[in-house]
Amino acid sequence: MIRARGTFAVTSLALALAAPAHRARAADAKDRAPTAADFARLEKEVADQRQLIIQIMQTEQERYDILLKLLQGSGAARSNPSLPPLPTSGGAEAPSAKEEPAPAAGRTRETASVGAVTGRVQARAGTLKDAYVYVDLVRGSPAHGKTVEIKQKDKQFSPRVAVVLRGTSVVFPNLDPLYHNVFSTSGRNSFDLGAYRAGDAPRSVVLTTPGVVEVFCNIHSRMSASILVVPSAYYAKVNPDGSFRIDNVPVGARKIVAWSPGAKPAQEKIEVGPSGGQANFVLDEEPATAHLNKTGQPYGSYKE
Amino acid sequence: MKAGGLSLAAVLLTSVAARAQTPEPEPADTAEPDEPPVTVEDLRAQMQDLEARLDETRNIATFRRPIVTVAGYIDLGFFVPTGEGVGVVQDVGPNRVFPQYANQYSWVFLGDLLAPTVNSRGEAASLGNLPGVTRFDSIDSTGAPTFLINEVNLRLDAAVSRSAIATASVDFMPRSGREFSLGDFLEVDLAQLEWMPTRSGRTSIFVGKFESVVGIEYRDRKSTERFGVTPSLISRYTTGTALGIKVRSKFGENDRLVLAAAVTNGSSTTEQFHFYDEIDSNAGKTVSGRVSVRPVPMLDLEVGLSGEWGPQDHALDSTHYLWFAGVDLLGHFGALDVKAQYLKGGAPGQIGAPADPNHQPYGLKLHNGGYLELDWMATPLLGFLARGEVRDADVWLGDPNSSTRGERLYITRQWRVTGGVRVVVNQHIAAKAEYLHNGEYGSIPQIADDVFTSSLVLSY
Repeated sequence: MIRARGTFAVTSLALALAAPAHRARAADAKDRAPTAADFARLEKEVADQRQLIIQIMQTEQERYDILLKLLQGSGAARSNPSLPPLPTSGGAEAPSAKEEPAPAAGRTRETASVGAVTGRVQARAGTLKDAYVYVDLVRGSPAHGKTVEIKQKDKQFSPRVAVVLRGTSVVFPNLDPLYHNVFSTSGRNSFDLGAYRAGDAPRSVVLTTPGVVEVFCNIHSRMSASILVVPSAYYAKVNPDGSFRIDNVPVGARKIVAWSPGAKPAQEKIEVGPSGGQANFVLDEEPATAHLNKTGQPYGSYKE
Repeated sequence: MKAGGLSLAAVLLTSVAARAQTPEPEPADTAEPDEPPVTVEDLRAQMQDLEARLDETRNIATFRRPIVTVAGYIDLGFFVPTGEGVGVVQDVGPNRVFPQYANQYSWVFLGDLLAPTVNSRGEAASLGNLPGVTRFDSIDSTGAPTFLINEVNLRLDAAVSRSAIATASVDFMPRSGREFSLGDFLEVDLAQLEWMPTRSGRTSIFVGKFESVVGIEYRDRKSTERFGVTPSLISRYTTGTALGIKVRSKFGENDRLVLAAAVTNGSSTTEQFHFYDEIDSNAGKTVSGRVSVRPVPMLDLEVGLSGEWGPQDHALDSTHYLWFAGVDLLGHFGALDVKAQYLKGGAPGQIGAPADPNHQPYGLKLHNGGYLELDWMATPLLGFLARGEVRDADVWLGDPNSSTRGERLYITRQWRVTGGVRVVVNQHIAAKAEYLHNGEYGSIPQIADDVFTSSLVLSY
């Protein structure tokens, strides 16, 4: 408990020291045209802030862990419903794109505090490919040291769909004899790996924020991949018949999200009890939209 | 662990306290640290604040990105021609190969003027000193081994909106001056607006001066895009940039079907060739189109049909039509690219005596033209090229049946094999070398017009 508070104090103090300075500089910046120095400073602040957020998340997790252990030890685990649940140990085992992700049915904790979420996912029109369902807003331990590989071969990413636990490192080896430049502009998971070719050291990115990461090549517009970064190991791939099952979900009010590439994500809030919970989804197709290159410009029709 | 945590907290608190008690004036943008939040809600609020600021920062960074990108390349060359570097000989004298044309044309030439190609622009090592015309012989090497700046290119792309790009590409060619005049010239290669009106971005409308829709070779006509050094013998018909409007749409998964159509002032021939006219001299416009399919879903193989039809460039009226039609194939199989194209075409040229000698259209019979090219990147660094091709064509100026007779006739029965090597040093540097062996068939005598040529392309 003391250790958690100590780490907590470090982060909070860092935040408190950083915030006023940032605000003052921001006010100055509004009164004049931004300069290259401003730009460099902003870039640095983005990096610093991102690091701070990661630290906060880790601190928060530690705090949850200790609190829950204490509460479980005193038999009061279910007396405070506002406490975030503790993910199963499956969170530390980041499922790769090749693995079936749902926590094994045998890996149960206290049977009274978890339940299975089941249901179906359908497409309003057509069929779904690579649909996944996950429990949102439940944080498991990030996947430290876990690596997933997405190859670049024949001007395509392979696999084109991957699901990773937050904190997973995704490496993009280029097997083509020509240059590719992998990048994403998906919110807080934005990255730009620069240009490299087969024989060069593969470059990678650690995806820390849950959500969908759309990955492209800045040179070849037709190259695309989708990575779903899930917050915990509470997720499952939808079966060909549309059914799914996620075991060992902590009881309580849960937000369940269904996602498939090329479809609008759908979400549902359900109550998960010891006997489980049910969530059904109908996914709408998302109209294909031309993506921009890494500088925010259209590619042009001949960049293929 | 407790002791360690307490010590750390104590050190930090002491540090903060010491900072607060420092007698030096505090910078204006510092402040006393707030009390550390003690609840999860406080922490979440703090996180939300941070995330909001992060988004704000990202937006600022995004909007500071330039909307104009500057690119281009420098193409440095060195070539060694055989003979005098000229691809034609005059058919003259008592032992004429084609005596039947002696009374129809003032001059008859055998071979291909552009066969001894030295660079990606398609320029010949030398055009020779042919009688009856003053040509712009841009290189005029007279058979000497020569270093050359093939081209300096500057390209500007501006995202004028989320769905439109304005592009300008200009080539600069330093060449030899003569008689106090500069030989350097420049060419506006592209000046276009590409608008993608649909959400999917799979339809583009181009206006301005844009790339051709005929065949496939226009895609790698620039030296940064071309695997080897030189274009094919039929590139002169398909890789020019013309002015007008063009539409291109893609359909199906992986662009299973692509349709393209254009209406332009003139043909898609290259500017240095006889059939190109940048500004129209007649009211009729040229229409061209291409349809391509990917017949096998699992293969990156594209097959296309394309053609062009319109009033001849340089003609003062729209009564004589130039046409081309062809098929093409483009396949990517791992590190191997296969490119093939076949083309036919024709144009009647001037009929009767010319009303204006400066606006005489050339006549053309492209009986057969085509190539097969294999580009193989053996390693990411090293690649090899092999190309075999043929061009069987007659080109003439003037009406041989008129009272003024035809002025000149070129008879080409050309084959060529090319072997090349490509070294990609890095993303910005590529070195290429080729040997072109030209041969003549039919009754055309063999001409010494082989070429070794090389190119160092520095892109930026």
